[in-house]
Amino acid sequence: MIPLSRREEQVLLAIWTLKDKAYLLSIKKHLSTVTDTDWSLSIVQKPLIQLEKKGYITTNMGEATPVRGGRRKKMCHITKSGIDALKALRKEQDILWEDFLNIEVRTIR
Amino acid sequence: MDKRNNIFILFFMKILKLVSTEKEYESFIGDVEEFYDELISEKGWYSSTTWYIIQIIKSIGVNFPVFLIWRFTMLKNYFKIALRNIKNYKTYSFINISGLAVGLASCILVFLWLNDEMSFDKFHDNSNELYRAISITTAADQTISSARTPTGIGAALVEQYPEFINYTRYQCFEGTLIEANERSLLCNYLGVADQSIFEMFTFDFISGDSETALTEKYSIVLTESLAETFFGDEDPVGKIMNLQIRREPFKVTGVIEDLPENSHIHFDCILPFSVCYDWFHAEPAGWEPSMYYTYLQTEKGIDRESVSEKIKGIIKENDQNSLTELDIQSLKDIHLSSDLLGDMDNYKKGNIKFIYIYGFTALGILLIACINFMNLSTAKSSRRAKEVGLRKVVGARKKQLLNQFLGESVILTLVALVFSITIVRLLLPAFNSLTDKNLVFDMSMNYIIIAGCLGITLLTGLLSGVYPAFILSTLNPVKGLRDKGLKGGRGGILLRKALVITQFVLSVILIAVTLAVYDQLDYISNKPLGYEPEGIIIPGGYLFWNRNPEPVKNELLSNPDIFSISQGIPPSAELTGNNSFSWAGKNPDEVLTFYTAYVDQYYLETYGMDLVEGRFFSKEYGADLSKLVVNETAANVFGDNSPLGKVLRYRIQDFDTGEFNIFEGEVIGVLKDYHQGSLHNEIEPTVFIHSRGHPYTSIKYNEDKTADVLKFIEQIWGKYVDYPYTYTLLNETIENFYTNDRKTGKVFMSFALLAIFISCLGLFGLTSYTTEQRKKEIGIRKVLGTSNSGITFLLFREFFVGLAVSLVLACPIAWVIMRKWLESFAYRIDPGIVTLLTACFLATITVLISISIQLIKAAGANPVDTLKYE
Repeated sequence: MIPLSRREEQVLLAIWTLKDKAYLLSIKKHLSTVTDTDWSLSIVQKPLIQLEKKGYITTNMGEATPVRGGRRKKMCHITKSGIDALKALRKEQDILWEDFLNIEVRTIR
Repeated sequence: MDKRNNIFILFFMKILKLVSTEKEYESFIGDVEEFYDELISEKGWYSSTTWYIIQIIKSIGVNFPVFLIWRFTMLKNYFKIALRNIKNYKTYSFINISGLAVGLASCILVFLWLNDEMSFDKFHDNSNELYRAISITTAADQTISSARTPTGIGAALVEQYPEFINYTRYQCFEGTLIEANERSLLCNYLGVADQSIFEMFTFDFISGDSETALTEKYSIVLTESLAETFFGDEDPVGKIMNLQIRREPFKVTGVIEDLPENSHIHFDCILPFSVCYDWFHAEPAGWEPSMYYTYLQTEKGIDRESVSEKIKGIIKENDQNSLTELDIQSLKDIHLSSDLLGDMDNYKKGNIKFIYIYGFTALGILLIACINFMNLSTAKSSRRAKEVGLRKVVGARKKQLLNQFLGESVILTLVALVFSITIVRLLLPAFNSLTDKNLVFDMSMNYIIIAGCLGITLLTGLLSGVYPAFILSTLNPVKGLRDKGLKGGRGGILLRKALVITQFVLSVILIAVTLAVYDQLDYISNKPLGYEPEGIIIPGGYLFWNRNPEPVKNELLSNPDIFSISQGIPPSAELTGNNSFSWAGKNPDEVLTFYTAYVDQYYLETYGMDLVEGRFFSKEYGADLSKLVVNETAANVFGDNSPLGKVLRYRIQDFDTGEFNIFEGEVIGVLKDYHQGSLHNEIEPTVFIHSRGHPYTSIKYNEDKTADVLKFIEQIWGKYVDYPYTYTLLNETIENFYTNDRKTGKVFMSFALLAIFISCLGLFGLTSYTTEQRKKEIGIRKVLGTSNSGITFLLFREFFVGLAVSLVLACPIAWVIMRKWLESFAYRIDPGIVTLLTACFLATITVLISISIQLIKAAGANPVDTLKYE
């Protein structure tokens, strides 16, 4: 399993959320809204290239719309191994976070 | 403004398009456009366009590393395939690499040589502003251009024309003995020049003051190596030196660095010009023709044409009788493109002709090697058809394939370069002795050489690869992947034949020219010169210099092996022209140049010449001193009547006083024409003037006892002269006239051998390929009953057509080139059919040898083996 960077993780999760409507711009918009900061396109573009190379997503050229000057969208789809990678990451993080969360609970008490 | 017209945006979009894949680019720009439209209504035109640009630039940053990695991966693959191909087809690789290596090596050698030739005289800081004055004398129908100019012109030009800012007069004398520090050594080149030589030219001083070095009359400036031989590590400045023949003491005022090899001015030590006023009666500011050179320094950026137009008439203004015009030539042209009287004093004079000869032949060899590559790679293109087909099916575009195959040929050439560097290193000493140079091949030092080598290599790789790459990349993948492979198209075969023909045309030309050069050299060495050059020794001039010759002569003649002695200018020397001759009945407006030779009464018998008419100078001492003898050519100038009894008037400069005197003399005999100097020159009308005590002495001796006679003369030399024994043998001097021609012969010979070798290699490869292709055909023919010899003939026929065509094409070209080269000889062979036929015959023989093994092997193959079906 090839590890995911933080950015890749965020982008991969965004693709999951957006389902069939995931492409560069929609991912950017989604992440900008969620994190409340402005994401530039290339910041999303780089993890997308990496993810595709790692085999966690596949891409295909979607339909063209007039607003894009007739250019096609590059649609992203999460793959099985992408989902596995996310699950594994979550599991790993849960273990890593566990102790910290416990401390937090104690302090609040 | 529409952002699509913004030059910045377009520029960055271009880059992005270059570094990213097609799909990536399309979708990304689409995304940017989409968001831009939203943004523009929100934030306005300005900030959204800025955002647009920034997005594109950032994306370039993201895509570029990816782009690089892909490129590298592909490159690695190409490299691997290229090396695999070199390894798998060993014969082809050997033929290609060895051919290219030899071709490259000859190109690199010639490039080194060219680089050196071109660098002549360019090391001076002012080299762009330095000129040499030349004089052009037009008399009647002939024009003589000389590098020597009157002594007064330099000062006059600087004074009258603001374009000229400095001048120096210069001359270099050979072989003078110098005595200093209890040592007495020969200095090969003794220069004289004005002090300004150090202001104009860049000669670096090691010690002494460059500003006053030659201002005092008896001062001398040494080069570093001469100073070291005399004084070792001591500083020689202020020391005293004596010149052997002139007893004045000279004070050393400076030491300069040794002159570089690529300087046409060359001296070991230099004296102030003022010494020539005493020694040679040079006028400080004369307008008579003199033996000195004048160099001028001009203002920056002058127009040579307009300046030379202005100064043209300056000699005639000052000397009404003069027929001479003045001109200037750039310092940088002197080494290669100057062809003037007096040029031979230039150190290692070059010739632009050799630049062309060497350059074109080296390129020709490289071309032959490139043709080998093209032929072999297109011939074996079917072997790679599958690879090309597969690559195309997987998605390679034509451009990528083109790049791949071009890259492959460049890789092959680079491999060849490695070998060629080794070849160059091995051959450099031989090449240096052939070209009389001191070239070094040091890659680490000279960027020009590195750039040159890589440039030649890249060019060769591209040139030889472009056609095969084009052929391979246009293969149809369906055909390529089909089992049977590809048969080369009709056009391909024709082109291959044309290329082979080109190779052989080049080879035949080189062979023919080599043969012509050697024939001519043979002709020269066997041509009767009109005198006997064998068995004549010419001792150095000091034996009879300023000395009563009789006792020396008597002592020499006491040896029975010495037959006769003649004091006078030998037939190997260059004579000086004189146009002052006149006689009763001569058209006064006609200017004729006669050459004058000072000889004594023993000249005829010493050289074994013949008289046509009249008699030679009487042996009786003092008689006939005012008589003249002319040669046949001169006799013809006088007209039909016998020249005997004609009285000639002429004007000659006296060497002792420097004055011009008028003499009269009666013609008493006509000497049979002989070849004065080299056979490059025609026989000129010559007048022989009776003289006594000429320092040049020719001694005719018994050839069988050369060693004894040389020793004997050395003894006598030692008795009279305190100067190292020097002598020349006349036949050696005459041999030396043709050193350059012999070098040309050797260069052509080696190039011709290389050319024929490389083309035969190529032919060998091509034959082995074509016979393999026709393996099945040959098998079937044999099964049907054709004999072995029939098959061999069938295969030969194909090559004979090509060979015949190339011979027919090569002959006229070779003939023209041979004529061109022979034109430099006044007496030459007539290159005829025989030379051409011999060249053709040699080429045919080598071709037959190189292809016959393959063909006979193919013809002898058992049809069972070739026809069996796996």
